[in-house]
Amino acid sequence: MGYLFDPDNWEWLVTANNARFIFEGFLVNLQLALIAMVFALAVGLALALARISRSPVLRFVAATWIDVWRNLPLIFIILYLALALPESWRDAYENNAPQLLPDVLQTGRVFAALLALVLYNSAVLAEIMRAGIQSLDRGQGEAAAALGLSYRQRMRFVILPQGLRRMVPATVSQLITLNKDTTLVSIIAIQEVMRHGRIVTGFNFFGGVQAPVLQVFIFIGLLFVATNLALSRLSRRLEIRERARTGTTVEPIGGLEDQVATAQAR
Amino acid sequence: MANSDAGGPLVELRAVRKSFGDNLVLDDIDLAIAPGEAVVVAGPSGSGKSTMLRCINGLEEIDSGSVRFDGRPVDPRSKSIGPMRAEIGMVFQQFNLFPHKTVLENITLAPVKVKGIEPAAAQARARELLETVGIPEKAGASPADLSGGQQQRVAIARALAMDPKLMLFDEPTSALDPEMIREVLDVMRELARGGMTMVVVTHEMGFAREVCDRIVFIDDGRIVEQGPPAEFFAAAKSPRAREFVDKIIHH
Amino acid sequence: MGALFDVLTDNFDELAGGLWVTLRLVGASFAIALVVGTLVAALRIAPSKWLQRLGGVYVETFRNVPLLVLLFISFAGLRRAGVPISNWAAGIGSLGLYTAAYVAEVLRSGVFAVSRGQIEAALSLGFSYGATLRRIVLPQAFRTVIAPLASITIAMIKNSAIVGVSLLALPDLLKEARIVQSRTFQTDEAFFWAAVGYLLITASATIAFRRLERRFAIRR
Repeated sequence: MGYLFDPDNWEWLVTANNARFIFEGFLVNLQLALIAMVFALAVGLALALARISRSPVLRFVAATWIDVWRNLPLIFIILYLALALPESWRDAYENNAPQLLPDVLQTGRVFAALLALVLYNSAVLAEIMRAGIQSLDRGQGEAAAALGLSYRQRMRFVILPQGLRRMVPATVSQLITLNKDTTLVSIIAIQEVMRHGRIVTGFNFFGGVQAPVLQVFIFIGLLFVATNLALSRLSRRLEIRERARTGTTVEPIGGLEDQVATAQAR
Repeated sequence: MANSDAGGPLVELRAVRKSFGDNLVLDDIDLAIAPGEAVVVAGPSGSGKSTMLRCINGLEEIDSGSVRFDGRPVDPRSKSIGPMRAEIGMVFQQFNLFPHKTVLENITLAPVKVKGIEPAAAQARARELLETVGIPEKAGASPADLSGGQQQRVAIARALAMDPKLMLFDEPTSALDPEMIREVLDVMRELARGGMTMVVVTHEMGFAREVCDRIVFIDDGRIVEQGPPAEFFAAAKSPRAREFVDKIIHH
Repeated sequence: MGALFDVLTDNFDELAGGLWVTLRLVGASFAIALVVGTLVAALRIAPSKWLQRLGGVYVETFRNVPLLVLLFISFAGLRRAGVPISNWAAGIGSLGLYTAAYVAEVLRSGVFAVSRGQIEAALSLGFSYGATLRRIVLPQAFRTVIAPLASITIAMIKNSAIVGVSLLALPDLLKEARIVQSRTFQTDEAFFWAAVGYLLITASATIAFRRLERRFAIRR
């Protein structure tokens, strides 16, 4: 305990550029999470629609695809893609990455990381969306059908708006998980907060005090805890507002690891 | 062309059979309903009344036999089912209003999206209908803020907004508190007086006696007996129907 | 096709050894997660506000921190601080404590899912508070908890793969697949067999939990 709180062991935080360097790394993680989330939501919706489509073949293919990707460890997918993706794909990404991304996120390696994050998370989100859609009362689809709406119109105007709204809390939980998971890309040498942490704990980086490993990674951990706590507060507020709006006790739909987060929101 | 003009039935079920798994729910149903007729379908719970009603607009697929509406076959798998359903209004036991839309949006959704009516015109018509069902002040409300009786009246207005040739009512008052049943039945009575063709599955025998032209009594998936309400209540021929009537009268 | 099976037979010892390491890692972490998770859940429903808050801090911390950060703290961090922790202890401890936060939340919500009516009925029959908890609440809570526990376990199995590739370098299934890959350069084949291994473990866990669920199912 003495070691943990010894002021000498926290001096690194205020010397040189250590703190700023850590924050810069953390920002890369947040950006990765956001970019991956946007794509995963789009792909996930497509997968969910295929998963509940009227064609048995499409349903089967989508179900298999979803089950394989969401049951593999994410770190496995990241490593595999980093090793197996053709050189040409990575080059294509490097040459076409939007300029507004930070330099670290324009390297070819990031493509494997992003692809892995999207593959995994779109499969998880597809399951969440499917659950959200199928938890709707059958009567909703029947009432829409009885009014003469086509399958597409039923989905677009009646089923999806309600089903997707139900999955907002679960999606935020998944964003929290995704946020944590971005640290895994350090394994394939992408310069984000974990790498920055290790650099700071290397000997005399920036010429300041050498930072102790324990304190640096506790600090990094706290950054994640603070960000993710803020996210889950937001999710809870959204859910309460939604419940007040529809006046119903909507059963929230849980995601894989974070099924508990929704249970906690009561 | 519209068969009804030629004097044929608006709805015609022939030798309809339907089972869920091993359970035969509709056993050789024959039924014809003329334009302008108000028919009440009665019978014990689980007798297949609702299933029969749902076959008319293709919410249930039949195993054999045929269902025709306005001279055309009802086929849930064909492309024509959407436009056909647009001509058949349906009111559900659980109302099934869309909770994410306002009352007005519930009513205008199908006219605008299915029939392509101008939103402004659809809204004007929706307000008229809300007037008819007695709740013009609820146009901007959310369904969650309405009582059960009000929700069901909105559901009726929603169905009427499509100018249907036929209205199906699936136990429209069974989920309502007793004091709200009357306000819904009043709306239905007005509809019948106005000449709307209606098929009503209900346990409200007072309504049946007073409003409908014919009672169809179903038991165990079969039509056991049918006839004018006065006849049915005074002297049902089959023992099952007599038993049913006795129970209601002594209730 | 031949190459696929050659990779398996040529490197069977490594891959099977990796699978075994993963299984032990998962088993030990699961035990820790259950024990610690139960304790934390008990804190969360304890009669003292301070104990509740303590449990809350545990859950919020371990649920929101990346597992990789925990592994860094518990291994490199503690070692640099002079604590001679082994890579197994750090791996099992991190994975177990991390998962315990989820277990605690599931147990807690399971207890709350048992309706007040059940508790009142038991008390009115003359059961003591302890007996009510033991005979009425906990058995029902256990049943509602099986399904979410299953998804937590699946997540934990997948998370175990992080331990091997981190600084701890435990020779688990993914680590061994990587070793085979770097020696043979047969990436697809090596990773294919590792994937089969992981899917086998998650599938068996799913089936086991489903059996458990069926045995304890309550008809409502």
